[in-house]
Amino acid sequence: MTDTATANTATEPSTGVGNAATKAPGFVDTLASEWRKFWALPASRNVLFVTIAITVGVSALITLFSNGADLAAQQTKGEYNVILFGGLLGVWSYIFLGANFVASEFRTGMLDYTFVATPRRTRVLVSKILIIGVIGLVVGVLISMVNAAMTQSALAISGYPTLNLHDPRLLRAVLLYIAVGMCLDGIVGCLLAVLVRNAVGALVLTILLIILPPMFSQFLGKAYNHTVPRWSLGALQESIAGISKPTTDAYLPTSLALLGAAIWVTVLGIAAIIYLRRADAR
Amino acid sequence: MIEVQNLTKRFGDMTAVDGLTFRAEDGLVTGFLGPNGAGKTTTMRLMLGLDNPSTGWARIDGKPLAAHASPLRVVGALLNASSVAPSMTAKAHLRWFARAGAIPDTRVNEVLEQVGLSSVGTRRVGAMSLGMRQRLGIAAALLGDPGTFILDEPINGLDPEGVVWVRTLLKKLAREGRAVLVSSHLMSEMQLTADKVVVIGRGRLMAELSVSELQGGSQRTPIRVRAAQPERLLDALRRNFTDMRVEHPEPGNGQQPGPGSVLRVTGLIPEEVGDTAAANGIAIYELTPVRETLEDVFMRLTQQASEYVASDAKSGALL
Repeated sequence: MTDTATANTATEPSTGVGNAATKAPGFVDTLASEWRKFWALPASRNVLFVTIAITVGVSALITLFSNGADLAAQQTKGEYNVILFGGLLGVWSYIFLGANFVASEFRTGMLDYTFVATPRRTRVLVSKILIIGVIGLVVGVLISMVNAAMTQSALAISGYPTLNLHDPRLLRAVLLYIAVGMCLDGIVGCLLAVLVRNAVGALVLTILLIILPPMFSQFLGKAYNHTVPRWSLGALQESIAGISKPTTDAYLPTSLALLGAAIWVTVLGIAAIIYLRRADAR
Repeated sequence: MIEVQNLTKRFGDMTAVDGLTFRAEDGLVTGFLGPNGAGKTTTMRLMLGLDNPSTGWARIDGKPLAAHASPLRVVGALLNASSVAPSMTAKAHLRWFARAGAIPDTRVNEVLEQVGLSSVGTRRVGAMSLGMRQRLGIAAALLGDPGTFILDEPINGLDPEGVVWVRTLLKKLAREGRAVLVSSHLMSEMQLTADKVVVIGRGRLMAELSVSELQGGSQRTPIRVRAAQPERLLDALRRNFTDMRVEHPEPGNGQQPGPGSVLRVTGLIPEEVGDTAAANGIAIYELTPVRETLEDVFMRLTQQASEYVASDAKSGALL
């Protein structure tokens, strides 16, 4: 089929230079443009759906197929064992989403269009991480609430005790744990994707950054254990959500944990910005 | 207007663009010609700020593109028609692009209409033919109604109707006072479309001329001469003019032309050949300036500057 067979007949070009309205684009326009781009990419929608399906689906499965006694036993062992189960896979899926949002620019060559429209490359990157961060927070909170509602309803129907979500400590953990994971790790995935230009590579690197520091703790002695692991991405996420106990090596006060998260984003962000500014957009 | 000054781009040991200086003025279609690997696309990427120059600069309307407040209103670019997410629809692609330039959404439908894609705006780009993707790329370039266009091979993949449409469009844009820089491998098309051409080879400028200058009308134009005594005419021309070249391909292929030889004289104007023949009493049967096509000129200029040449092409044989 030729292009004329399906396309309309082209019309004469418009006359005069500057027919379109003349407002200089700013950061809000870049943000809005990236927001449109995010939703226009089927991959974004599909991976977001998979993320929700994995997390909510796992909770639905355990609610449907385990009897109330099993759920109650797990919840007695650890109050977060049931409501946060399944969140990890969702976070990993969301990291891929964030990384792909950046890497698809390199893979498809769409970066040419992006940087011609917005030569300020930092503006584009900041827009992307804001979008990934905010969607991660919102989706994470929604997923956690759905999971909590499903599992606790199942327990209540079976006549077992449920978690008291009026307890601010518990509510904070339920609302923040998956949400902060998606937000922080998704942003890290985004930034690493700038450096490696590949979604899978960025996903693997982010997961390694999450799991390696605590894994090394069994080999590297007390000095390491008392310092490094608590600054790892996973530990920061637990401290911000209030899950870490002050007596453990993973604990940091909330303010320091937030600072730690900011340091991660800032350091990787600076590396990504330097790279984006210096490198050719290829 | 596009200005390029001493522009150089190196990739490691390889110099893709080498000290390039030229201009593409407002109101003209400037053809950007060169063999494969000559550095055309890299030069265009440097103009758009997508690649960083090793030395030199490129400016659009007096400033680098990044220094303009509204880049999409300054330049419309088409680099690679496939540089669009294949899973996105044509309209969605234009919508995010328009938003990035603070251009109203109403322009999206306008430019889709303008390039003849309004009926397929909701089709995925990956399901479009190359010709349709080229039209989409041109639609994106038109979106901001800019004063400058940088188009890399815009007629690739277009059917004849599409080629005519692009030709008309480019000429119209130039008539409206815009600067249009367009690269193409199709010399015949450039001959019809461009007002001037910039020819590069191995990243270096080989010529920057108007199409009419390039094709002849000067001493560059070879002259076909049939004379009663070609050997005497040749002697007379050699005595009177030093800066000229004569070939006599038919018949008599030796040092001297034989009877009936047709001379091909380069470096003189017809009047000089005719006057010399008259002064020496030699009858002239034919004195014809041989206009070169743009393709002939391009091949002559870039003969030594082609990066990739098939062995058959080097030997001149096609089959």
